[in-house]
Amino acid sequence: MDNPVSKHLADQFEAMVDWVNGSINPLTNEDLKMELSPGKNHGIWLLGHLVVCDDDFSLYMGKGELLYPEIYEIFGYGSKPLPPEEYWPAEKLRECWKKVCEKNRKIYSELTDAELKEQHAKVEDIEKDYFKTKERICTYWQLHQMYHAGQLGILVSRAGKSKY
Amino acid sequence: MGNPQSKILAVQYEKSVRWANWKLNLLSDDDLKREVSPGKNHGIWLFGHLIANEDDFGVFLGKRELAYPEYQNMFAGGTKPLPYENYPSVSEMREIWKEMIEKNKKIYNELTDGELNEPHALIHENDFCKTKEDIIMHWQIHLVYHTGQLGILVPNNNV
Repeated sequence: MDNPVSKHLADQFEAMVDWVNGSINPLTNEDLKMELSPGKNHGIWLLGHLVVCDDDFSLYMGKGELLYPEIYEIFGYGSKPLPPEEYWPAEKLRECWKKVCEKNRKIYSELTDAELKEQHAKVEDIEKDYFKTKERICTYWQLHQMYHAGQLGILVSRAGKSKY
Repeated sequence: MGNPQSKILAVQYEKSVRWANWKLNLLSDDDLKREVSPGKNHGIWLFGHLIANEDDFGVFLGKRELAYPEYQNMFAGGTKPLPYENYPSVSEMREIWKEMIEKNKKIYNELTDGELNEPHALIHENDFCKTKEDIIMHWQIHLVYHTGQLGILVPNNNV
């Protein structure tokens, strides 16, 4: 079989997106304003964080620019959550999520196993770079999305829309 | 190169476990007693749920029997979380967790790419997961999903 690792990662990407959507779709725009803990992350920040973290995947893979550079910093790693009203509306963020998934679906569908062993496109010093290869970018990016999907799942529970 | 797909799955498993351990090690036994959703699940149930899933992973892959069947009864998907006093001590759970991880690392290290396409050991009609590869994918995703939930119980967490 050609490119078995790439094929697995493409399938796993789809599974990840399904899990994320399983957490996002039951939440209304109002539900997304709930905080995970007082003064900390809320659903809007988590959704925006998922968007920007899948958006910069193409930069690391050398496959295209950010779709939404204007929200990259405010939802980036380590950004401090602001009140939900200060961000783009939930409806727009839901659209952004779909668009970045489409962008990355195309990248995964064209990926080859040989490419996975290449240095990722943002390496400056390979010795010091934590990720080093495109393969590691794929796995870390997907696991990261799952981690936060679980947190959105808590909001689904708190909204009374799941058993757990 | 032999078994490239199995290798990446083994590496990804190590990463997922390292992430889970990072959070579990930051959580005191008391932190785990806190609820993530009022009247619903708490850290103890989530931790037990992860143990039950690591245990039945070996069964789905056809590698062993359940080591702790009672954990399936308490923590499998579909069980109702009870107050934390109803469950084993956190120290026991931490020990069993380590044991399960070691057993599963061994499974991953011996895995071959040929095996991945085999039907999993508990397959039934209209099963959502059909192959061992499907089991691996969903068990790993599931592990990180609930790790994210444990993460919010870490004191002074940001995410």
